[in-house]
Amino acid sequence: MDAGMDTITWYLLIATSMTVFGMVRLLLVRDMLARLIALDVTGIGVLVTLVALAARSESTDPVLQALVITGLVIAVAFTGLGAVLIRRIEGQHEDPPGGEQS
Amino acid sequence: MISPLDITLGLAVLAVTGLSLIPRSRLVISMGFLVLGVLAALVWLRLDALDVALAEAAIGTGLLSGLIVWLAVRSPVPPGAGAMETSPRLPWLRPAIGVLAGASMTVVVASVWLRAEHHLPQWREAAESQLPDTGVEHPITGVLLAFRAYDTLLESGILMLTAAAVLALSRNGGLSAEGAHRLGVHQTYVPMPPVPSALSWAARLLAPPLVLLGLWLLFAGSTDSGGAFQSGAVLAAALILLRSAQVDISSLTAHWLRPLLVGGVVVFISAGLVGPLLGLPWLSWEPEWAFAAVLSVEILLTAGITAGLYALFLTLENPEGVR
Amino acid sequence: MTWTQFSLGALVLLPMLGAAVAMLLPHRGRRVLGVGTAVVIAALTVPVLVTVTAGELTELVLGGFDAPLGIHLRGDGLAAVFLGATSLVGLILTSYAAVLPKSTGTYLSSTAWVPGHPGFWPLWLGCWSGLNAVYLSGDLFNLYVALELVGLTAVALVALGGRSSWEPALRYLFIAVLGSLMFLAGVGLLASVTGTLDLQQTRQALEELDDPTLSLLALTLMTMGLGMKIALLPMHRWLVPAHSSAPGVVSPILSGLVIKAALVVLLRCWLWAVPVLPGAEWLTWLLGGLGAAAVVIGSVLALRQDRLKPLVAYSTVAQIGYWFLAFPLLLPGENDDAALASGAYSAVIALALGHALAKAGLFTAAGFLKDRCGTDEIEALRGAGAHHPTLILAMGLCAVGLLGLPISLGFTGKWQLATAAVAAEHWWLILVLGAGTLLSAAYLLRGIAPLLMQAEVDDDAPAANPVTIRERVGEFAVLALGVATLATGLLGVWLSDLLEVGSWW
Repeated sequence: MDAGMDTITWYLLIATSMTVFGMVRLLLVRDMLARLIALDVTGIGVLVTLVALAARSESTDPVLQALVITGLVIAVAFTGLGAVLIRRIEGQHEDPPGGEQS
Repeated sequence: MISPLDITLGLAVLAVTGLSLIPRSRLVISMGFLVLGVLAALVWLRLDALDVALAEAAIGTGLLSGLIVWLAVRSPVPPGAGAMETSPRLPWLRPAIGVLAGASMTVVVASVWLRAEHHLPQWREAAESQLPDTGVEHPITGVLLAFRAYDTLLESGILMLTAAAVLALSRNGGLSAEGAHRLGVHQTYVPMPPVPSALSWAARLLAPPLVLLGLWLLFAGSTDSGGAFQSGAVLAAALILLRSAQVDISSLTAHWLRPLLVGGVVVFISAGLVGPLLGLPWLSWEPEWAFAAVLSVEILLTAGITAGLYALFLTLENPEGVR
Repeated sequence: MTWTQFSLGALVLLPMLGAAVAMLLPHRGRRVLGVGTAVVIAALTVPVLVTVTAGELTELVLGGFDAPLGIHLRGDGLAAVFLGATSLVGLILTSYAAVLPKSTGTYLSSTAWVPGHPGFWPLWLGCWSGLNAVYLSGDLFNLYVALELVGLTAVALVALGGRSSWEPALRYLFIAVLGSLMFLAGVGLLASVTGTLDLQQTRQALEELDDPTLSLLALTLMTMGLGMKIALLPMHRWLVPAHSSAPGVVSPILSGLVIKAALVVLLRCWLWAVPVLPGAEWLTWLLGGLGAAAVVIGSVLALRQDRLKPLVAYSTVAQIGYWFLAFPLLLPGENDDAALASGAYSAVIALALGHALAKAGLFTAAGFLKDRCGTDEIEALRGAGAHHPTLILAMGLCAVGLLGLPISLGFTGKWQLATAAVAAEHWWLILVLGAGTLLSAAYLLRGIAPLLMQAEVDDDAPAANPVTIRERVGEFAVLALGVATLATGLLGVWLSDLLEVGSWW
């Protein structure tokens, strides 16, 4: 695909607004799961930016693509740890007996 | 010109971003995030990044969103609060500040973006000319396992230590405690909550093709799109499905989870040590045996990634006595 | 390939290997492996220090692929001094954790919460690997990966403290990841105009650039992200709960070493990756102002604490401020000479290294008392010093270092900073330094003095239990950190020579 400069600029704009709004939401919201999601949205925004940069050459640049895959895996690692921590924190406040209902 | 397809896709991404950030319900935002993962994969396809799209589909949408949706389903409402907190006075203030700050920052950043004179990467020629030395044909695999193998090694270390971290939050610190020699994770032996039998059968039917797909992605990686991370994610998904379908894999987990988890990193570092022993820099693969080294590292790394991602799901359920 | 080049790679990869193996070993084996790895890392640091002392910069081209395609590890002066300090502190803390396992956190066994967390060993070795990777890296994206490795293990180490530490750990996770993502966004911006990720090549490419706006935006983003991870004043709120609820031996690791990793990356960005930009002055002044505010506000908040560990944590917030005070002097302006900037630079390093040793000692001592007496409330610890003369001596030595009294490294740092401030005629800086020193004397006195007071200790109080031999050995580990705080002050000249190697000027 010959992604023209216009298309790339368009996606750069989308990615920038994802990053910024994810960040703002992360700083303003209190709910832990909402913060975790906002963090991931920020992460996806940053990674889309990198891929858009990679797409500027005729065939999409392999090095930047590899970096983005690295970034994705790191995002999953952090989300996993965050999710387990949220479960533990909320597990403390659940009703003691029979609180493990699904 | 921007094609209408790109405009539609971009606007959809923006809309779904809003859906996964703004609503008050945990279920809605996690579903929004799931859809966002699918759309992001499409964006990456439009940007001609097939490998990233595959990784996003497998790791991002498949596992990441799965994790978050599962969390939202297990505790749809934060305990105690009843709903997400808002400031009692001036409930519109926070959103207003958020939108204003976000919009102004976007404008500032975007205006700098648009003015900048971009330069193409300087590594293109070097990457093309040195690819034959790595023993693989697919440039992205070459970058991940040869040119920038160090980054990949640290990253697989991160995944391994994440697994260590979530295991540490489980019974017996996830490792064998004093006097014990097997994995102490409580969740290994506790059955999953029962699921409808139709779902269970579907999971059993889906798992074998997923395993095949994972293996295909692994071996395709040296010549075509695919590789350790995508493959590991698909294999982990197969394991998770099997566990949800109440197939008993607990003894497998108890004995093999930790060896598989560390195997990839250990073999990666050992292979990296061959270079210094021959008088070469760390992480050098000689062209004669580069393919063998890269392939064996990739296979064990896939196993490690599978185990690491599976451990994230395994430990999500709280041990008894946590409260 | 030389020994030094071998060491550069091994300093990162061997601790990672140790972390992997530690996950498989039984309980006792993990401790033995941990201490063994620490000794090997300390030994590997020696060739790097020797080479840098000889004035040579060692470079390792990983895999034989040259930048910008591959990654270079660079053993320059900055890397060498931080490697040395980390090896020293790491070795002492590892021995402490091996002798007193209950300082590594609590875990849930099948029946109850048990002290001595088995997960500490892989996570700490992984963290150490990440720290070394940060110091040595010569590549912007690799710096991001290494920072994430440090951040993830640090969050996990906090969470070892049991129930009460989970919420601070999660809060820390959000800040750490957000900070790294902002750094990554900055890296992406820079790479889009330079086409490379290598630090030196980035600088060359940026120097040829006409329009500095984008570099400035990138630098701002990176500074904000790293400021969050260092806990510069308005972004410091995560630090106190995280550092004070972490297990006994984890707090000194976090406060002494982990925040230094972000500081090193910040210095790499400002002084190596990005050339002096027109328009960056306001950013340095902003950082200097925030630093001054951190020194004052952090110290005042420390004074108001009733518990020992939060007091020490707020003292970290204050000490962080000193490093940023030097930023307005760090960039050579139009007429200033480079000697001024290099003086300010070695002041930052001396202050940071002095803090690494002294704060590690003080936090270990606080954790020791908390583990032994079951509380860290200053009132409840009244008179606890009577049973632990060695510990009190060690705390005193660390306090000397934090105050910046002669002959500690803290003194060298404050002296160099004051000299640079006088040369540049920034008198307000002297004022902040003086106020900070007085305030820190006050809060250290508030923390330590009650321990020395006479108090009738009940016979059944935990503080009255006989001190075991293991605990005595642990006290000597703290004393080693205290002695090191003073002894390193004698190395000030050597330090300045080391920093010359591979410096940006």
